[in-house]
Amino acid sequence: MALVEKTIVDKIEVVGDFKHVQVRQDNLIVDDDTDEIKSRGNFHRYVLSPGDDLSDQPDDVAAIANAVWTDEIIAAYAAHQAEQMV
Amino acid sequence: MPYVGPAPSNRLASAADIEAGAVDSSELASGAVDIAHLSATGTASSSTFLRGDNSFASAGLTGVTTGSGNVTITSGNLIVASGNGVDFSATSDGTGTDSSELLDDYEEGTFTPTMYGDTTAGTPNYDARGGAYTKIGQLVHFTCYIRMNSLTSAAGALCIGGLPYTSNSNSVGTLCPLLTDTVAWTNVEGGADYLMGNLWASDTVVGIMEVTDDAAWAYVESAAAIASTDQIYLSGSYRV
Repeated sequence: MALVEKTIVDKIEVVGDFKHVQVRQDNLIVDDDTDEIKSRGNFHRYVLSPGDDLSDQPDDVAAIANAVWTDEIIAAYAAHQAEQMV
Repeated sequence: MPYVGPAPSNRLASAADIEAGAVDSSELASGAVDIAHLSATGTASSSTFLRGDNSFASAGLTGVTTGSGNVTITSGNLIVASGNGVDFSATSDGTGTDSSELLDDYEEGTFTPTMYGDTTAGTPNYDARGGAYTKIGQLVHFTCYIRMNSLTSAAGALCIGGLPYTSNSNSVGTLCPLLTDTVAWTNVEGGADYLMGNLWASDTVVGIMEVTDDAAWAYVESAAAIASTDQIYLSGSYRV
């Protein structure tokens, strides 16, 4: 039996006015011979903001982001960021 | 006395001899059939019950004990379906306006913080970085650190990004304490009295602000602030 670490995207959420895409990864420990999952729930998160580069993202994450990030959303988020500067 | 016709059989009645519904409570006296005379697998006792599959099984749930009004899970977890949680509405309330008394989420994990300039992100070269979070209900608590090799060509406010959740739109005024190591505060527009993280609403960004006595607060300019071996430790709590 060989144990290997495998990272999967187990949750994709679109949140907030600016359609941020929240991605949760689970770092699984898997038996390489049987594919039995030995350990799960080791989460790592990141959030994609409108206009972010999606070239390194998994296909399903990129598809969701491209679907919700309209030009209007991207422009609104850019304006929102400018407003954060005091 | 001779019989006319076939002699009656002395065989025992079988299920085929009793029509469905032929015997009901009106044909049975109270107590006529007790548990001991029921045919079922398992052991009948004060701690077992008869299941629909004709077997006696232990009462209660495996891994769960009850007593004195408490329910104890001795093995395993309490798993709550998405959208549900633990309802605390029976408890007394504060003087503010309640928005929820349902504890419906808990999660812990890691994230990867980033450092960049707001106007021009620049090219960060990290020596080490890491972050951890715990989310309880709608509140996220995080800690993170970044040790830089360099941040070149960055411009605008110095920002820490990559937080694990997008903040609530009402998160204005969420401040994050930070600790710096070897950051030359003299490079921070004349030297600030202290630095403070300002978490942006509806975002995953903490802008680093300088606060100086008797002067307007301002964001730290990323171009001058960060050099090799500079470290920032940052923590905070915010609503999502």
